[in-house]
Amino acid sequence: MSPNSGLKNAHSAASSNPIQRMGLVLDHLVAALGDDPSSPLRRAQILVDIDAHPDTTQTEVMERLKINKSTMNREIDWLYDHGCVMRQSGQIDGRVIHMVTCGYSKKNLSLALDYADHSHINLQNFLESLINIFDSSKPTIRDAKLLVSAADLGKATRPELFGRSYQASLTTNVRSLESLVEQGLLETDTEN
Amino acid sequence: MVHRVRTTDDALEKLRGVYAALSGGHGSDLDVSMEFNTARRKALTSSAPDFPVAPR
Repeated sequence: MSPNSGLKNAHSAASSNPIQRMGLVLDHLVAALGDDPSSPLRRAQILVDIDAHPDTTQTEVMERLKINKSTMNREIDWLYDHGCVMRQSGQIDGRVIHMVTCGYSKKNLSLALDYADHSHINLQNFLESLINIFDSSKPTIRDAKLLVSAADLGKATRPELFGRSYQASLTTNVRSLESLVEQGLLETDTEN
Repeated sequence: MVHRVRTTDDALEKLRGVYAALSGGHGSDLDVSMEFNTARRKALTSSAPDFPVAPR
């Protein structure tokens, strides 16, 4: 471990509580996904899986994550179009496409892994258990960040909560918040 | 009139499990953090003058 990473880890441990650390992991995942907080958590899972298995194929990722083919095709295209993964034809069978994470995605996944004991399994379990909290079919990183921020703040006004989440239109934030309320994850009360 | 938002107890319990997954099963740190948040929430909603110190 380099002195810099040791210092970074010490700083992370000293400057944030566990709830904030979950928020920081989400921030790094957003950065790894082209700064798009509207990304589904499932997309982050796919990226983490590819990072954990360099040169893996689409079929292998589908089998490991139990994702159907159409979703997988869509997500892989998205990751490729946004420069998160590189695709390369196989040397033995040219029809087989191998994938690796690259550039800013690889760098930011590495930062997220700092909070998961450098374990892809821990990061994957984190995402899986986070997805399972939601009733909605496609929870996004924005939803997760709002929930974690609310847990960190304790009790907050909507502007305070939105100020801690990702930048978006008020409509987007309100829609996400109301969905969390409907799912029984957040509750609101009114004070005079 | 101000609308305030807070996490439900059920969601906090589930987040405890999420953190445990991230840390490879070491979820107890989150208990400490949540105790702190509960204390802070009580402080914010009561007339208690002193802000609680985070337990270590």
